[in-house]
Amino acid sequence: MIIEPKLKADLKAYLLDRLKTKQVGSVVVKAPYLLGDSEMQMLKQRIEMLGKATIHQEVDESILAGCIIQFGSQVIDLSLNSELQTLEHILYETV
Amino acid sequence: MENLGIDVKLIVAQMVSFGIFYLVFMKFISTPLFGFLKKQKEQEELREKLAEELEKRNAQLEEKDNAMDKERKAALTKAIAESKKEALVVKAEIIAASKKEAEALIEAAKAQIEAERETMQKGMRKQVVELGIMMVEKALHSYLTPQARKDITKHIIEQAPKANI
Repeated sequence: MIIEPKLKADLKAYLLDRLKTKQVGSVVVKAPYLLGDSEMQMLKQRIEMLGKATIHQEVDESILAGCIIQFGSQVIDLSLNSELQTLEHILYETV
Repeated sequence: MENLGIDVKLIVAQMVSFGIFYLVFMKFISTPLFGFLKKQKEQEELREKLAEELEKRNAQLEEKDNAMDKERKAALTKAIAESKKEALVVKAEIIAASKKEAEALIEAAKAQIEAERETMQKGMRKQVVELGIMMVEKALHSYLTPQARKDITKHIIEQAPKANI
């Protein structure tokens, strides 16, 4: 299959651009309240990528405690709600 | 003779007349009559003989008929007995097949009941668990103070595994 050189160059530029964007992409952190500096610091220690990204905080009252981190299509759920869901699943499977 | 009142000529004439009468009687009346009577007697005897023979044959036929009837009855009794035997065998087979079928149906029904019970139990279990978790969520929403939320969040972050993303 022959690919046009121009198309190839454009694709390469696009992918590089995407990689670059990913490195400095924005991350949304949802929590029941605005997380303090110490908490954010602890989070950055746990998740390396947070140190390189721009962080936007959102308050979500439906979260009982903990936080949910979203970046792109990926989600890291560190909320109490997810713990309850896990507990629900365990109870359903074992009881 | 004439003085005694006997007429010889008349007597002779009478005797001749009697003789003629006798001859005529014997030739034209007595012989055919006896022949006829004899024939009648013979026919009567033949009829009697025939009647006897007929009766004999009748008796024989009746005997034969009785024998055949007996034979027929015996065959019929035998056939009925065999039919009864066969019917009993067929009955037993049908009963066995029906029992087998009924047992299979019962087993299938039991399996279905068991499956339905299990499904129902699963559904109930799911509902109970969901309800419990929902109640816990509601309770936590109501009773968690801001400080408690902060403490829990801190604890969760501390316990979170390190992610190299």
